[in-house]
Amino acid sequence: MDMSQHLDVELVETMRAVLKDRFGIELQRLDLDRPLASLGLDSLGFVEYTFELEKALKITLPDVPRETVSVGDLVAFINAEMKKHG
Amino acid sequence: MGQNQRRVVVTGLGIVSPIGNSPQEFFSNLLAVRSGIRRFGDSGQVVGSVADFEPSAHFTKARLIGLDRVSQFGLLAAEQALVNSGLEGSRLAEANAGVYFGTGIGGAGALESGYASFFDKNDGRISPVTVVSTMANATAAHLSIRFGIRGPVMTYSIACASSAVAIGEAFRAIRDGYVDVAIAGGAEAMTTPGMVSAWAAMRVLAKPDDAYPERSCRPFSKGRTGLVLGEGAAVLVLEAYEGGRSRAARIWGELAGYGIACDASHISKPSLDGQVKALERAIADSGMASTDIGYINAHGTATQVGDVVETAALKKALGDAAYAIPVSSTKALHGHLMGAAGAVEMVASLMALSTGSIPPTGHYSEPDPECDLDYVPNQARKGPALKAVMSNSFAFGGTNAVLIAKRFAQQ
Repeated sequence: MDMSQHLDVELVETMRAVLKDRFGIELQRLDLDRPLASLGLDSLGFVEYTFELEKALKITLPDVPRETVSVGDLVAFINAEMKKHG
Repeated sequence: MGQNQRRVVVTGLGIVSPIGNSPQEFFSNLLAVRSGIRRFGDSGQVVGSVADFEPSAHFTKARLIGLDRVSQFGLLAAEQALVNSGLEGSRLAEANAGVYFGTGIGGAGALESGYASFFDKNDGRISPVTVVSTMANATAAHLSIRFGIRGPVMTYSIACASSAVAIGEAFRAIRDGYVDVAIAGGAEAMTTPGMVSAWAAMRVLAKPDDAYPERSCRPFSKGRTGLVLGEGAAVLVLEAYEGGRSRAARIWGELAGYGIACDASHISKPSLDGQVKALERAIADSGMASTDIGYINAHGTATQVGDVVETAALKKALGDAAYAIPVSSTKALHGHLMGAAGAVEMVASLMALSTGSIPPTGHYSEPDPECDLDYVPNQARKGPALKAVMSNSFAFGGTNAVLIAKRFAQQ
């Protein structure tokens, strides 16, 4: 396992924990190819979700790009932002 | 009443309050003089809180996102009222229905916690649901979504008169044929540390009674020291009479009169003339005589000036009848629910109308020469059946609203 995969696993775990703790959405697995639209969040819920992720990860994210459609897309976006800011 | 005006009946009641979360529990606590006023942490203040309220017992985590305490209270009170009316489920969505709702501040808790994190140097963020949690019309909007109401969904923010005005405007809308059914009431949840401090800074809050904090609010009594903030919600289901009859719904009373007038004089100090005008307009609207009114639920906040002006206004508007009518302020027991006060006190008034029991003014200790009416001190009364009841709500900003309900009788 290289370092980036390790980061992904931790990030996905955080994403899963926030869904459970804040939204009461309990998922056994959060697969990277899962569509974000299937998480049961409406547009406002998704904005709140990214806000909660910022808090959990102690980062500040710019607007999530429109083409972010899967869990994997969101992981890649957040990873890229975390790398930018070290 | 004009020829084309319809009769408006109350077919459902719901309440979430510091002294009970059903109309029956609330009213029995009023009659038994059980106070819901408690110390507010270590703030040195007292408030009327909805005790043991656990949001997760009523809403899922996902549902609570962006749903401030004020909207939680409003939804719970409305659900009760609709079950009580027999209009739960899809029946409301199929009706020509509206929401008429009052609140003083709206989502005070969401605003305060949002600002707290925003101004915190170690945080600096603010939740993206702050706006939709805080906005004054959030509760009315949640009610429309919850019950599928597509007619007028209105919010009245008129300080202490908010929900009295909401009920009065719903009454008119049904009477004049604009809607057939209305969810009318109000909610308030402003007993937050910042808001309580802001009220304390204004020096209108009651000095807490050290030995008996629950007795801190003493309307119309000599030595009263001010108002106590309360939180909660109350909802009335109003219907055009035909609707109520066809469903054989229980009818709590018929709305008979609504009067509104603004002082146009001072932002917080009450005026005799404005209150008198509102009282006179309500009585004229009802088509009844002052002597028909068997109980008045006073605004009675327990401020020095407020109780004196209200007493004088009742005497001027009602004449000699004022001395014969029992007048009580139930705020002694539940506190001042601000935007929800008018609705909460209409629930008390309608329960009095339907049971014949008159709730007392609690914690009354000594007569004030300037407050010389019959305030039903400390002990409930069981009188003959009441013909009509009146409820007063007089707001900061000068708006005075008066509602009259009468015993329902088929004609």
